[in-house]
Amino acid sequence: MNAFFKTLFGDFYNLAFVGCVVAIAALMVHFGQTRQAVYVVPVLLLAGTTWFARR
Amino acid sequence: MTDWAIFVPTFLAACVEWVEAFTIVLAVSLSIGWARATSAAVAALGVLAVMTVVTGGVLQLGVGLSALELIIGVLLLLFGVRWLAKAMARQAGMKALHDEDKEFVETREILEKGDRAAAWVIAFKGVLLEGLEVWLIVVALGVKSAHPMVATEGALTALLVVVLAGAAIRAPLRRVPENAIKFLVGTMIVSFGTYWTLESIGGEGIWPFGDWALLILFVFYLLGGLSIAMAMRTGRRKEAIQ
Repeated sequence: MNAFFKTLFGDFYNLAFVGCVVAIAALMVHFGQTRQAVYVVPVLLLAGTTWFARR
Repeated sequence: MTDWAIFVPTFLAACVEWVEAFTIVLAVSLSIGWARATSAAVAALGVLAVMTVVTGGVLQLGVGLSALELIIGVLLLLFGVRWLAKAMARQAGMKALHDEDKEFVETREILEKGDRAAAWVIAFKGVLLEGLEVWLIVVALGVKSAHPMVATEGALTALLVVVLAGAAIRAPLRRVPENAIKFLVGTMIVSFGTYWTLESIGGEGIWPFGDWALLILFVFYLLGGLSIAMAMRTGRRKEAIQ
């Protein structure tokens, strides 16, 4: 079962990272920064992916 | 969204996963024979087929479009970020490339210690776990794009290609450029995930250039990922020289 969940969702860091990015996107949209969100979110995702690659 | 935009990532991702599954089935077949090893693989594929039909149906029932987009977008991000990160690490030389020969030898070593029933379970579990990633991509891309059959065809075509190639050479399929495919698929999956997650949060008009934003995201992640991987490789070389 552990392998099943890990295959689908990854580890804690993966879940936390994607959760944070989604939360940041939601907050930006909520506070009217929608135009900026489409530039910030991809940059955040690439930065996070780089961190995971180096881990 | 064209059929090819769904078919290509599903086909490529499935190719990588089926090659890994084939290596395990091949190793098991040497212990318990082709018939029993194939029966384990078929059983696992049956479970995956049922899961695809059930989850595809459930996701389309009673879930609003925006919520569906968010669920699928987040699932794709969870999955795509890992694939892209692994591919970048391998590209940068920080992680060993996936070695089908090594996987084959390791599975054979495990099998030598176990019995015939355990060997069947190893083949079943191997195909099921590798196939889970295919299932996720087929359901996510198929349901969201309203092209479930195209996504399924992509995965089944990949299965056919791998089975035919594997049956022809009867050895681990080691010449598949796995990391290049993983880089490409990881990039596609993160692009779809970003696009749908933000669209679900900010509404339909959030992306400048409409559907073209998907292509822009793909180019951004591909070039960005490759540049960073090259920079990491150069950094490692410099560290090694010093």
